[in-house]
Amino acid sequence: MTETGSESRMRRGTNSPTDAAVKDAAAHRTSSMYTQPDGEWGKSLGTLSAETGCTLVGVTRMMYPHDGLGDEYYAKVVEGLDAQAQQDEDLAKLLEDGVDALHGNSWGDMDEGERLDALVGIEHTPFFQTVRNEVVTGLYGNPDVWGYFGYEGPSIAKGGYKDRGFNDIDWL
Amino acid sequence: MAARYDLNDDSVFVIVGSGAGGGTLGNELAQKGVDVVILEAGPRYEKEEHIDVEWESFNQLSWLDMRSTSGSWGITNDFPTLPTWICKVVGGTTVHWAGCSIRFKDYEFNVAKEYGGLDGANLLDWPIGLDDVLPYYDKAEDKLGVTGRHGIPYNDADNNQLVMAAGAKNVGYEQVTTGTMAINPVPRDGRPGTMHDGFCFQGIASNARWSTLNTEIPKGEATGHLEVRPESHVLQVQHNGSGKITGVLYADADGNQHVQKARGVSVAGNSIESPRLLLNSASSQHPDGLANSSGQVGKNYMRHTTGTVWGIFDNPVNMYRGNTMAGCVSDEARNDPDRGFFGGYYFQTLHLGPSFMGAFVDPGAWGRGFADDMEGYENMAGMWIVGEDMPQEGNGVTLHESEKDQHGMPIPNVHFDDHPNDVAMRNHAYEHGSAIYDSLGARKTIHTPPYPATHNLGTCRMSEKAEDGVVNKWGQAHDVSNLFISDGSQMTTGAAANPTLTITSLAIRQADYIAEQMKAGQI
Repeated sequence: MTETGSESRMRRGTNSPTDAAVKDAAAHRTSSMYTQPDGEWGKSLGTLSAETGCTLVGVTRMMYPHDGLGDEYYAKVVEGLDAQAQQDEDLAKLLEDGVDALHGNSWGDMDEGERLDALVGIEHTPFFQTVRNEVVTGLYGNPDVWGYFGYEGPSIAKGGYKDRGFNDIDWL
Repeated sequence: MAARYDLNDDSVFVIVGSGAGGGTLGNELAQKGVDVVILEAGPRYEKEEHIDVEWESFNQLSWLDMRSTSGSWGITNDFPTLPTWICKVVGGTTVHWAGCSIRFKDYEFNVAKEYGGLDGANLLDWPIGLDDVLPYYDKAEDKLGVTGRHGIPYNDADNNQLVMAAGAKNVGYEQVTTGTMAINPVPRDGRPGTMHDGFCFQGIASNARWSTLNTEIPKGEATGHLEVRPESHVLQVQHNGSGKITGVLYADADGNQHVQKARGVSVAGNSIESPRLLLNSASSQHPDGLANSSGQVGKNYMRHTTGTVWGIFDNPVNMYRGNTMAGCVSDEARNDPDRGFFGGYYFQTLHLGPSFMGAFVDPGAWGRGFADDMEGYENMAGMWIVGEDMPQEGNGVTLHESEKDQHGMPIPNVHFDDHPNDVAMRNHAYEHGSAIYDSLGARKTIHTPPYPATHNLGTCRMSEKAEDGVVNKWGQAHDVSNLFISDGSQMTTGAAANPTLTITSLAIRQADYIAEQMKAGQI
C-alpha cells in the first residue's frame, strides 16, 4: 500500500520501540521533569518561560511521537529553540504567543485527541511551522537518537561497512 | 607547484566554476600547456575537512546563496529558496554526486525527431550525435575510473541493492547491475577501493570516488599551468567594442571586486548560475544578456524526472551500510510510447540517514503516521527514479525584479512546471518501483516527490542554428567566439542518464577544440 503524506499523518497507529529498556521507560512515563513547569529544567531555560518550554516539550512530541524516546530528546529540541530565541526577539515572541494561545484555548484540560485536533487547526501558522522545522532537524539530527532508529552514523573511522555488514541481509 | 596569475595577464583562459565541466576543462587545457585560471565562487575544503554528518555537511558544501522559485512544482511550497541541491566549493557538485556514470543512448541526441511534435515541449535535436561523443565517453570513463569499463570490476552488491535486485528479478527486470560507477572495489589512480561507508553525498572523505577536487584539480595544478582561485564569485563577463570577451569581474572573500583579464572565458557555474551570469552581463551590445540573441539563455531548464520509492519491510535492511547509490535497473531506460510517455528512466538505489529522511521523505509531514514510518528506518530500502524530462521554454532562470544578493546583483528566480510527459513517467516509475518492493513482501511503500534538484540542465543549450540556442556543437557561444559554456546548461535535451559522465566527456572534447582554435590564432 502507498499513502500520501496527509493520510500517513492522520493515521493513529502503534509502533514498536526496538529497545527493551526504552520500551520500559515509555510504559512508566506519565509526565517527566521536562513537562513540569515548576521543575528545574523549566527554570533553566534562558529566554522562554518555564510554562512555554514545558508545553513545547509536549507539543514537539505530538508532532513526531516516538513513544520509545524519552522527553529529554524533545527537551533538547526546545533548548535549541530557547538558544535561538535568546538572539531573536521575534522568535521569542512567536513562541510565547503561540503557547499562550494554546493555553488560552484550554490546552491544559484537553485530552490527547483534542490536543492533536488543536495542532491540526494551527498547522499552517508560522508558530507551528517554526517549531515543526526545529523538531525535524533537532530530533532526527541528534546523534543520540540514531541508535534508536538503527542508524550507526559516521563510519569511516571504523573502516566503513565493508567488514561490518554492508551485505549481511539474510531474509531475501 | 600551482601557478599564480596576475589580474592583468590577458593570455590566460578563465573558467567560471570548478565542477565536472569547469574542473575537467581546466585540467585538460593545462595538460596542453594553456594557462588557466579557474575562478570558483566557493571555498576550498580538502577531503580531510569533509564531514560525515548530513546537516553539517549540507551547510558546508551547498550553494545557499539566495534564490527564489515559482511555478507549480512542489519546490515552491516545500523548499521555496532551495531549488537545487548543488555545491559552492572547489570541486563543485562533484564533491556531492554519487558516482553513477551512464552514457546517453543514440536516440537521446535526436529526441525532437524521435518524439515527434510533443505539445508544449521545446524539443530540439542536439547538433552532435553519439558518434561524436563516443571517443570522449571512453576517455572520460578512463579518467573517472568507471566500473565495468577498462577492466575495472563492478562493485559488490550491498543490502540496499540486494533488495532492489531481488525484487527486480521477481517482476521480470533483466538489466540489473551494481551500476557503472566512478567508485571502484579496488584502488585506481591514487584512490582507494570503496569501504562502503555510505557518505557519498557528504564529500570525499574516504577518497574512493572521482571528483575534480581529488583528480582534475591536483593534476592540473601539477603542470604549473592551472590556478584555482577560491572564494572568487564572478559577477559579470566583460567584452570590448568589437564584441570579444576581455575578462571577468569578480568579488573576493571580503566582497572587494576585481577584474581578471582573459583571452577567452568558459562559464561552468551549473545551470542556475551560468545563465544568471550571462543575463547579469547584459550590455548595450547584448541588451538581453550576453550571447543571448536567441533569447534562449535561462530557458529550457530541465531537472530530470525524479522521485524516490521507499519500501518498509518486516525485517532489517540497514540500507545505510553502503554507497549512497549502489545499483541500477535499466530496463525502463528506452523510448516506448506504449507506456504512455516518451523517453525512459532508471531506478538507482538510494539511502539517506534519519536526519535527511525526516526532512525530505515527505516534506511537511508530521504526526503518528509519519513517526511510525520513521520507526521503520532499520527495515527500509530505497530507490531513486531518474528519467528524461521535457524542456519547456517557460521553465527556467530569470533575474528577480527586485531582490539582490550580497554583491548587489539580481538573484535568480527558477520557474518550473512539470510537463504531462514528466508526470506520466513519474507515476509509471512510482508504480513499478513499488511493485519491486511489494514482490518481496514490503508492508508499505512510500512515494517521495522530487528533492531540490541535483541534476540541472539545459539553460544555455547547444543548437545547430543560432536562433534556437546559445552555443554551438563545441559549447561555443553562437554570438561570441571566445565565450564557452562547459556545464550541464549546454545540454539540448536531458536524456535519462545522470549527467556527470556526459558533462565530463564534452569538456574533454571542448578542450581539444579550444586548444586547436588557440593554435589557429582564433582565440
